[in-house]
Amino acid sequence: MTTVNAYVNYNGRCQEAMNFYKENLGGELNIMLVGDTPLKEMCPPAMANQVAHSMLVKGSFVLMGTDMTPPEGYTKGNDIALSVNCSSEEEINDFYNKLSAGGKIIDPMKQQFWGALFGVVADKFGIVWMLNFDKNMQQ
Amino acid sequence: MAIVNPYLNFNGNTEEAFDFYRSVFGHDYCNIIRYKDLPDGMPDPCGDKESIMHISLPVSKETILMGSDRPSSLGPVQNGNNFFISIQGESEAETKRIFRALSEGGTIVTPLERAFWGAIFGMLTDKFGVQWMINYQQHLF
Repeated sequence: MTTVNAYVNYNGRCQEAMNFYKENLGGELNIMLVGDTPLKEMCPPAMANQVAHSMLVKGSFVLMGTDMTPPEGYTKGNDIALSVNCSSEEEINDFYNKLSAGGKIIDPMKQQFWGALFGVVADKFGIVWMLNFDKNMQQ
Repeated sequence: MAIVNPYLNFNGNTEEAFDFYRSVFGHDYCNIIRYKDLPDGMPDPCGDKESIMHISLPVSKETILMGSDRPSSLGPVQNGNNFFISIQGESEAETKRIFRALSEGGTIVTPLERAFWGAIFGMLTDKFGVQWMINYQQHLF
């Protein structure tokens, strides 16, 4: 089955970011460093300890990250955020508190007109997370 | 179990972009809400009642592409290069078809070809400025 996932560039902070998510959200983390791949032949030596590819998996939760910045440089946009469908009220509270630590709350969590608990935070790496828990959608 | 999905913001052309994505992925929207559908008394932050407040296009059983028109009060959308949408294809043929379809009118950054990690891989920017990584491999690490 074809799947769609988010892939985020952390511009040199990928290991720190993915470890932060792993510690706070859980899951299994795999990190492939530039120095351990054929990419090292094409990259400056200083990039050897940067992340070529990483993946955090916790069941159906999949997040991928990298430090591979294109030649034109890193540009942070506001065009994409991460949307998380949480599976319990306890989980959304936990994610909301942990992801906003060191970052900021953009939209405080509250009950919304579409029937869900919803809040938006930016984590300390500047990535925006939209957290949603709809108890009517749970099985 | 929590699921994380990419959420796209557009400057008023969300519906055009998602109609394009729907034509590529072949599913139908599971949700489309316009600002005009908001409960009475709620302000319309886009100044255009046809604008999309939320749209969701399922790609697989668990993964969904979602988006909305960015409220003008928040300022315009600025496309960065710090996010990609990653697609794992279900077959080589399907992966090639998706790559071709998404790149129509856009720019191929890395042609779809065999990568050192054993997958078929390519990168492109679509005609709406969204960056995609397209990958097909039988066993993900």
